[in-house]
Amino acid sequence: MSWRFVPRREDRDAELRQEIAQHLEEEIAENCARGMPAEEARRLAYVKFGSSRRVREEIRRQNSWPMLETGLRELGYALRRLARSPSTVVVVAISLGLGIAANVLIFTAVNKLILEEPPVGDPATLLNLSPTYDHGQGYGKFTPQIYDDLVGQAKSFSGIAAYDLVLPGTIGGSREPKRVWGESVTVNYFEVAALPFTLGRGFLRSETRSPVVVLGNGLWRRHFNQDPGIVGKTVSLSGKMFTVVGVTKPGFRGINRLFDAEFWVPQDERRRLSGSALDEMEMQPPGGQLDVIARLQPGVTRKQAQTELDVLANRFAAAYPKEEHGLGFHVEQAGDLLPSQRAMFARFLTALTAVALLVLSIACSNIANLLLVRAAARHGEMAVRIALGATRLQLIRPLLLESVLLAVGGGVFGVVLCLAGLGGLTALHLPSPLPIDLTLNLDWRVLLYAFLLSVGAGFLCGVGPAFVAARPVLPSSLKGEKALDRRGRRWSARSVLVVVQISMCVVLLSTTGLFLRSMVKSSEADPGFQTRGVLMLSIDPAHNGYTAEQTPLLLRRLQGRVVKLPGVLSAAWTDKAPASLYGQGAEFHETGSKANPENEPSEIYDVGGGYFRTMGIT
Amino acid sequence: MADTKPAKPTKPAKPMNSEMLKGTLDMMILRTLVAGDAHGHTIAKLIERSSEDVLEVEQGSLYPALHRLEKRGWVSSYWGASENNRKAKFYRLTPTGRKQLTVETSRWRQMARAIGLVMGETLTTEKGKP
Repeated sequence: MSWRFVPRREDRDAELRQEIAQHLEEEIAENCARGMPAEEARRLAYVKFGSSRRVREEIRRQNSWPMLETGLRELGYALRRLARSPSTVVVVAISLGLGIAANVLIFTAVNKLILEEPPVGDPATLLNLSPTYDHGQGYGKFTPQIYDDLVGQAKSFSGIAAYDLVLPGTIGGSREPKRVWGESVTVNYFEVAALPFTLGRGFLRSETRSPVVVLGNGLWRRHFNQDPGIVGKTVSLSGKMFTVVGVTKPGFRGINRLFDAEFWVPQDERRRLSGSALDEMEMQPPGGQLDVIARLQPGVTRKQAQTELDVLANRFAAAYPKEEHGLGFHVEQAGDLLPSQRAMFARFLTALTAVALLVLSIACSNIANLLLVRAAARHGEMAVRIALGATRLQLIRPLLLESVLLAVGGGVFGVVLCLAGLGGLTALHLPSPLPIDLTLNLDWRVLLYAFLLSVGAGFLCGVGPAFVAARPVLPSSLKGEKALDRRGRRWSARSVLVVVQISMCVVLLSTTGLFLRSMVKSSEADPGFQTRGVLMLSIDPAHNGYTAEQTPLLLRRLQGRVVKLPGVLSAAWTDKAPASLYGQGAEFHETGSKANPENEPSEIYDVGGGYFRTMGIT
Repeated sequence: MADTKPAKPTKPAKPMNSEMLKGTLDMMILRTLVAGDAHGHTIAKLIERSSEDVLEVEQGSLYPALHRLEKRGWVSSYWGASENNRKAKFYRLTPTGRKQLTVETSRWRQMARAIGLVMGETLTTEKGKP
């Protein structure tokens, strides 16, 4: 079938009619020449030709996409029918929309944590390496020693780069100083990641000790008004001057999916930013703290790289038997979560998805019920169409199309709802000391998911009612009896749906109840200190130019002044808020007894005078 | 337009059903056009006459076939004047159509021969009957 016939179908038909007419004239003329009377000559010519209408129809069929045409016609029909019952459309759009929005919202998280690739160049050949300990029992981070050895000896990679733990900084400039989080990276980091830049470039190999910084796109937009001439300017980072060399592409927040890094400095600049001894001690966990990315050599497979890494791990373990006993290397696609983290998120998201799907299926059964009633109301129409020779498929198709259209409408509404929900989620500020990246986005995967979900839902709620509608009891329907007035077994479909709906509602309600109860419980839990009436203020003396000697003085002066404020009973300082997620711990044991490595380390809080009174710890 | 009156009783029943004719009709049309350009009516007449009136094509079915052939590029068409100076649509065999004709002819020969071989015995016994 070709396009060119479609638009000028009418012309073609006229031409064909002319051709047929001409043919008949020839035939009549010939018959007359054989001496037939005019009337007979005419009749015979028509008999011999057969039905000219059929000929025209056949040629018309040859020239069209029958599927496309009937599809378009049915689409128009379905749309017209839906336009005539706006209340149904609204009800379905809202109930399906809610169900779809819940699902899509959760899928954005799945998308972000599991599906999305980091916006690095050629993500397929960029790997994340992490050392494993005790023969693969636990995952750790690289120590500088192992990292250097790896860079020196691994042959499978065209480049290996490392980035450190997230690093706090205070960014200055024309606006209020702002706390931001960044990473210190080896100077080849951007090269290995093959990261595209909005402005400027990554670090040069020679810049290991240069005060240069790469800004994240978000930071550049929020804090620097998208200044196009930012490259080459100096900015103040925690009181130190840094020259901006580049701005990353939007969407890049570091290789790690969870943290939200907004600036990058060369590794050796880390010390200048986290200058104080306090910080050093706090941020340095035992073992290593480097995350490593590596770019595969062209032609080297992941398996080959893994084999080489296994050999190297054994060599390093033998070289440092004390520190690196049982060392191994785990290879992961760059930006992927570690298997343990992934399992955790997968469990959590599966549970959420199950609940959301339950909501959607309640909406579906609700709508199926609505459509069943509509279907029964159309039995008269269907009976007439069957009597006129419509096939069952011809009856069912437009009905299904109608429900799928309805569901897609619901999907659109759902995506709109979801956008609103995402706005709310993104604005949510987690009281976490570390920068957790909460931004979720609707990208093509999410939209595709929403679309498939809507079509699936539409199909699911439409298929039952469509079959019911297409099987009217012909004699009674033609007589105009209303199917809904009839009592009988046939309508048990509706009762089943109601039962399903109610039972699912009960499941959902009890789950929600459980969630609420545990939420109430955890908010009522006694943390061991007074939570009411305690306010917290964070300051960053080291980042604002106070030396280690000046800091206690500052804290004491501050405490003295705060206590004098009206309404303040007491004040104290501590290095971190209770129940923080990070911090330094140590293992305690009785003098004389041996240290038990099984013991959980206890967290150590550095506190000033009056802490216990202020926190209400008795 | 459909004529409900039965055809003349003298007329023999259609010797070939339309399904069977479909493939061969295309071939016969192409063959007819080898002699020169022709319009629909002439093609129908030529097929009837050269088959000694055995293949009486329902003339209407010629046009969908012609249309199909034109879309495949085996014939081309133009409007011209017929023998008795009427405006008529003429069909002409294209080079690809000519090639197609050779292909179909040889396939047809093979088929006819094969059928002949299968039917050979029956035919001879029938001939042998008094």
